[in-house]
Amino acid sequence: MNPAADPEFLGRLLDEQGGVLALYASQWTDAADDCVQEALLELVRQPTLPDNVPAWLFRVVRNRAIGRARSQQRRRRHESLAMREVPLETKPGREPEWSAADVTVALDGIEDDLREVVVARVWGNLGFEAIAELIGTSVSTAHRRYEAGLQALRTRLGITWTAKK
Amino acid sequence: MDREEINQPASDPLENKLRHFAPRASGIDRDRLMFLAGQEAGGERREARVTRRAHWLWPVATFVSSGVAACFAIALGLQMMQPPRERIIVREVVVQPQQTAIVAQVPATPATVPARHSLPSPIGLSLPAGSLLQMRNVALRFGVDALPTDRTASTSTATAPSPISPWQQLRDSAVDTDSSL
Repeated sequence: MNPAADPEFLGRLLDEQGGVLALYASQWTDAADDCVQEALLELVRQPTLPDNVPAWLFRVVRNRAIGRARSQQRRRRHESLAMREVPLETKPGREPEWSAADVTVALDGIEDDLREVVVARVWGNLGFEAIAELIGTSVSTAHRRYEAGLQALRTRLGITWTAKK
Repeated sequence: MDREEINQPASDPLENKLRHFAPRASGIDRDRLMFLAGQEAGGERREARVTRRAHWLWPVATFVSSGVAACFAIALGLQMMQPPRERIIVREVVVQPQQTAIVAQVPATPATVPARHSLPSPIGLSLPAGSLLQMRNVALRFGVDALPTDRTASTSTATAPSPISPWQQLRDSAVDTDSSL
């Protein structure tokens, strides 16, 4: 039996990955939670557990979110997208320099392909090999996009960047 | 850049600062998700059973039909190799004994038996033993009524030429000759 059908396993997966998967899907669609739920159910349907479950979930969520975005665009071509809820919150016990809303706005302001990599790397904890496989590029391209995404965020958050030595 | 180097966690200070934020928990209804997951798992098990059964169905059917065909082929070959077998069939025919007796005896009489009521009665006649036997057979087969009643027209013995008649004719003719002389 697929271990993903175990309620405890599925609950833990939802707690650990549900938020970041919803954040990842929200860059394409308003129905991010639906995409995440469908991805989790798709995982339950699998005969065996994938080797890298988070990477697999990211891929399924991405495909479903892009598919929904296309159908939404077809449905309401002239309608504007609803204002998204702020998808980030501050971790308890941390005093960050910026508010969650600032980071959300900055994140929304960067290009889609850069943001995708930043979310998968920072909050999804995916390796660059997995990210490269996820977005269909080479590892170096994935890394380059990540660096470019961080740089865009720095600019938007007003951080002075100093190159690593 | 080396892959190990780029995969080092939190190599950028901004990345560390961004990790102070966490994605908000998704609005997925946990109970509903568990319910749907249970449904999916049950459906998966059912599908797996059906798929397993369907997976074995055709190979088993093919194996069985091939075995039956092979058995028939072997039986046919063995049958063709053997010489033709002679069969002796004994059939028991039940025959009514009384009817056969009558059928066996009938051919002697019918040609000579006259029609019913026209036959002369043999009673009172001095017939030879063979004629009496015939009369008895006629009586047994056709009944007493079939026996001839008319004595004058009865038997062939009445019409048969008597052995005395030629001599009597010769005597009569001799008498006639004497009287004419």
